Amino acid sequence: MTARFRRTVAASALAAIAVLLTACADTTGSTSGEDGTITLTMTWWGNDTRLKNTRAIIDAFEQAHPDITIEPTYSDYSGYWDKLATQTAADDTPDIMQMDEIYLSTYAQQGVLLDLSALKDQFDLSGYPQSAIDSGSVDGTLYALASGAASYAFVANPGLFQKAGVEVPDDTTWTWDDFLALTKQLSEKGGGDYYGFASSFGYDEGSLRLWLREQGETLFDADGKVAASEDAVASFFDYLTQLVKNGSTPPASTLQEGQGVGLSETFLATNRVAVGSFWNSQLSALSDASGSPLQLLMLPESRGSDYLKPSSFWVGSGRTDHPEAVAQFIDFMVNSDEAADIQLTERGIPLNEDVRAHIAPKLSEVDRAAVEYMDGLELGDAEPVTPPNGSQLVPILSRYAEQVVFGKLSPDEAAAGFLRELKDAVANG
Amino acid sequence: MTTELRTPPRVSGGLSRRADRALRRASGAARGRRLLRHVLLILAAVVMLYPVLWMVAASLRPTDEIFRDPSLMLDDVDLSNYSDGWSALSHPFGVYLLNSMIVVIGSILGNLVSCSLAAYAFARLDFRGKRVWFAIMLVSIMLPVHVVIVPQYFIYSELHWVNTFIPLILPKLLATDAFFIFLMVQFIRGIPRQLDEAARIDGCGHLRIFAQVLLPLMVPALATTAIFTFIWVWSDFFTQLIFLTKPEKYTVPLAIRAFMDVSSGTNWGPMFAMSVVSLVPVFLVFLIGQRFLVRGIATTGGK
Repeated sequence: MTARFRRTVAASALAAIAVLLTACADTTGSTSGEDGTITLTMTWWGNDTRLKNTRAIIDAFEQAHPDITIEPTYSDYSGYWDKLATQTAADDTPDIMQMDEIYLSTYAQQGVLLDLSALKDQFDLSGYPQSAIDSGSVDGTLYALASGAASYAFVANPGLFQKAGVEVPDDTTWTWDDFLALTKQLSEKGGGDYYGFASSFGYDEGSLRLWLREQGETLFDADGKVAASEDAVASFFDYLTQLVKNGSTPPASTLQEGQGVGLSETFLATNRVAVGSFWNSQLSALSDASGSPLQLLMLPESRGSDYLKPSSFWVGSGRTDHPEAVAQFIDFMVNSDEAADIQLTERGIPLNEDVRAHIAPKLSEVDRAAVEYMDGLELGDAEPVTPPNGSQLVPILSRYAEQVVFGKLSPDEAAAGFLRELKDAVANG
Repeated sequence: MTTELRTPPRVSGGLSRRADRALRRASGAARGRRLLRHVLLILAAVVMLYPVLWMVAASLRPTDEIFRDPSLMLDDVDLSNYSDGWSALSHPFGVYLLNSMIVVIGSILGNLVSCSLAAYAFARLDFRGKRVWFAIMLVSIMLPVHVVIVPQYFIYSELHWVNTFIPLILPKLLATDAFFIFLMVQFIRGIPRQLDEAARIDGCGHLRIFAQVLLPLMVPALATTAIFTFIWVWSDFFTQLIFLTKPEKYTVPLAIRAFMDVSSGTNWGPMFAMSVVSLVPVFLVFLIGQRFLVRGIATTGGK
């Protein structure tokens, strides 16, 4: 074999491979067919229940709009953000995306998202409270419509209250001191079998945000700066310390082990505590996991401070070729009775009040309880949109909460450290 | 993995020698010690296997009971997780198994061909900058996947190859798994050069020396490469997540993750059931290939 012959063989082999590979290649992204049909790519995170619902909604939408085809893709929550970041870096974002509140401003400020205010005639926003529209706007531009919302709530297990011989208290009048005494009493009656209170309270964003709102503050301000004062955050950590020292919660090490677990492994879902803190939309999943009837309670002193956290948003890609079609689909997803009939409250409780009223009679007893809870809240102003890099909030908070729970840091030290780190993270966003 | 890899030869070798001695002496003390040793080993094996056994037990329970009852004992066997899980996603689970198979087989073939050729070059040929290239290849082992994935995605997206299996298989054809090249270089270095030289005197070129003299001797190293490629690609999540978008192209790891959700709860029962199903091929491959695997590792570089 001569050297030239070998080189020729190698070159033609490579060429053959290249031809083979291109032959089975496939194109992605939005395309227009020759007959005027439009194909949109769409992505979301979630489990198989959500998959079934979403596919049914897509079918209904395609039937109503025969000229539009939706190409779905889905993954789990953590993989979703890896994938979306990669696709965004390669300028290959799907046309329609599910978006989380903590990432909304990051993507909006990168200019990746479709400006929905320019497409306002495609949407029927009459059923929305102004706070819901504000929550999807960044710097005054509407980018996102919420698929649903949830509110931070205590979830009580009345069975354990009864076992302990303690009345479930009136949540419209109770105070944080009442709660401290109540959960201590429950823990004592439980004698180690169960405790008064344990959850991600202190570690999650919902508890901190609501605590600050009760003090008349917010974590972030409208300009995306950290606005909370050190005193208010210190009082939050101080209450967490009191809960642990008081015996309201299991010992620090047990409490710590219960962090970061799935919903069905939480203290409340495994019937090890009488009260836990969650989002009200999780009531149904919690009831299924625990097998006990559960009840939602408002947090102490929260009247007028409660807020609705959008559980997820729908956003469009700024580089889509078919902004109107994207808008039509998002409108169908959040505002149509057909879509609401299929997914009910699976993506959170609808913010559109007409839609919420429409599905109310169709809900299971547990889901209806969650909707009624939300209807009964006295809401404060909308929570400002989390600034870019605000997704660092939970990792930073839970690290400091751990130090506080184990007594390694005083509430004051933890508050100072937490705010310093959060400000750094947000400034670098 | 490493314990499973290492223990079989050591244990079986050690035990048979000990068994011979025990037979010869047949003393009660020796038998007692042997019994104790077995009991300890079995206990250790149970501890190691507990997570797997727990997963199998969990897959046979209704989802809401899984975390309420941590024991391995089953009150009654509930197979519905398997049927539910098989059909829970947009396509039957068999589609995902088939997709994984395609990716795995493509990767194995790619790695076998390309890595062995590259290894031959590094072990037997002399070319300019060989040491430098070898070092660069070794350094590439330490490059985390996250660093290369964005430029890779960009290239494949420009070529319209995203959403095909090409981005998963093509790199294997280009000898990008440096670990296997290294493994085979070490193996070829252990084969006497006189064999090549004899073939050369008989008029063989490099290709024929490689294909007819060295390749037949490299079977253990090739088998090791094939088995490791199988296990790694079968359980790879990240690259498959990035490059596969359409549900009909999803592989097993992506499908299993689709049962999970942080906020509304994970569908544990079907997820564990499908995890058990996805372990079966790996288990079978390991069972059949174990012999080669051990020989392949034991004979590389050790001589």
